[in-house]
Amino acid sequence: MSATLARRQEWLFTAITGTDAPARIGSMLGGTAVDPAIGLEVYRFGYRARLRECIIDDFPAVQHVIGEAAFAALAERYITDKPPRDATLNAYGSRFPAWLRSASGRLPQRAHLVQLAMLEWALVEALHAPTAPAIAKSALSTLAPSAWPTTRLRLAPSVRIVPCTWSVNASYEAFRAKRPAPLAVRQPGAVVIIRRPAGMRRLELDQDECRLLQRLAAGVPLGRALAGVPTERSGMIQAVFSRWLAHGLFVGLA
Amino acid sequence: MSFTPSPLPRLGLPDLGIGVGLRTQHYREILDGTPQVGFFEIISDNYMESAGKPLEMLDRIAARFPVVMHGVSLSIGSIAPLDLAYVAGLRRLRERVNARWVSDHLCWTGLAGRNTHDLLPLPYTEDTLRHVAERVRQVQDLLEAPLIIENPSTYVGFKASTMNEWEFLAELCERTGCGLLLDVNNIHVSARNLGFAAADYLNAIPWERVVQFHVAGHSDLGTHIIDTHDGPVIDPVWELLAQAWPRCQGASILLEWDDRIPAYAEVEREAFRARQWLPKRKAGAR
Repeated sequence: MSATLARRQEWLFTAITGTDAPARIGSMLGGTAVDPAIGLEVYRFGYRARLRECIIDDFPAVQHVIGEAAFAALAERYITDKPPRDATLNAYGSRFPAWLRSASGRLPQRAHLVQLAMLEWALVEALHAPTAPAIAKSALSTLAPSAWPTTRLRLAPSVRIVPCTWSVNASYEAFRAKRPAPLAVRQPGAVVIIRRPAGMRRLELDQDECRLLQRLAAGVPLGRALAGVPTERSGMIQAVFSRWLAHGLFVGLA
Repeated sequence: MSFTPSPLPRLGLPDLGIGVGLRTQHYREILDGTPQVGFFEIISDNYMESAGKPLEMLDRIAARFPVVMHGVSLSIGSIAPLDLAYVAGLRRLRERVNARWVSDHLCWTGLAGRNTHDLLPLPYTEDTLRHVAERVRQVQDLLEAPLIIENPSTYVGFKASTMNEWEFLAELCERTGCGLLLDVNNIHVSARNLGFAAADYLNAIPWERVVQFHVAGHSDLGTHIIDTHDGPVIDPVWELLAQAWPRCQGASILLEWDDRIPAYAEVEREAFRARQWLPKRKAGAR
């Protein structure tokens, strides 16, 4: 590796990604029709614009809730705090929800926005996850009770469980329908995402359903997972599984 | 494993006619319709880390149409170690979709663990040439196929450069046996920004190495031009293609349209405008 080439690349990299005005332009760049400062600005502007666009693409519902200007300001801070590390931009948004949780400054409805960002990143992940044939709707009803203690349910690879305490699904629905974002309200539970051949689906779960599905996702056998359901909710189990099976959440029994 | 350069024109690779860049907005129109293009070019990076919908769509399209791969993250000129996992990913994808070739840009995108995700210019020196040539050879050995290198759009020049971009590219082809993806829009953009004559560029190209052409729209800001791929191709760029294409023994032509993307039919119509600019003797065949 050439030390001279390394020095020049280090300089240009800093000049493009830094927030300060680039130094020593005249000694490094020149011999062009366009003023080197103008040419360099094309790269400087492009760097931040590309990353901003990436974040907007991944989190359009968060932008819908807080507005374009506020979101642009947030994205600028994210770009500064979390510059891209990977060879591709595919996962650049993955750190945004966690960053949003701890970002400095006042952010109205922060917890709601963080959970909405988690939902949106889960949608990105589900889009890039494979689909798999779901088990038959009758697969559980024909399962002998004696097999419950040892049977594990395998979730579809695209399933993402997003636990939440706020009405993030309603916020996301408003974005999809191009309606004004509703006021966020407390709504403990989860949103489950699954990608099927026909498209992406979102299911709202209450807290008990969320805990049950999380246990199954963690590989807890069916019998033990069901034992964790509060007695007063045991009547819901059949309806819940019917719904989950209808949406193709499970792809195997083991 | 090693790669042996082909002495054949176009490195023995096929002339696929006129194609367009595959964009997600067009998946449905392409799969439900009857596209007339000869091939699609994919952005390799959009599919390498996905096992989901993008790859499913690509599999279906690649089953019906020839596909070529065009990447933006190889960073062939970077001082950072070559990303071997990335190259392995390129090879896996190429084999999966039977891509006819793999291309990327004469540029660098970042340093170790840091990335701009832009196609950054290199100082064109003997020192840089040695560095890039070694990495091109390494990639070709790993791919067991030629790497097709595209000339980038450029907005600055290094004072340290001791040769022109076209001299650099010609020498890179000579030393490595790589192919060329000649983007005539990029030549137009860089010629304006850097202040050279496009004819000088074309006169230095080793035409037997040109595998593919790119055409695209750009934005003229008066003081400089930016390669935005957001509109139709302007006549001076078509004229450059008309001057360049006959010098090859046939090379595929591809329209890039990446921003403010219209319906698929309009993109295809724009790509086929190339026929108006190619010599009559070949026009009927494309």
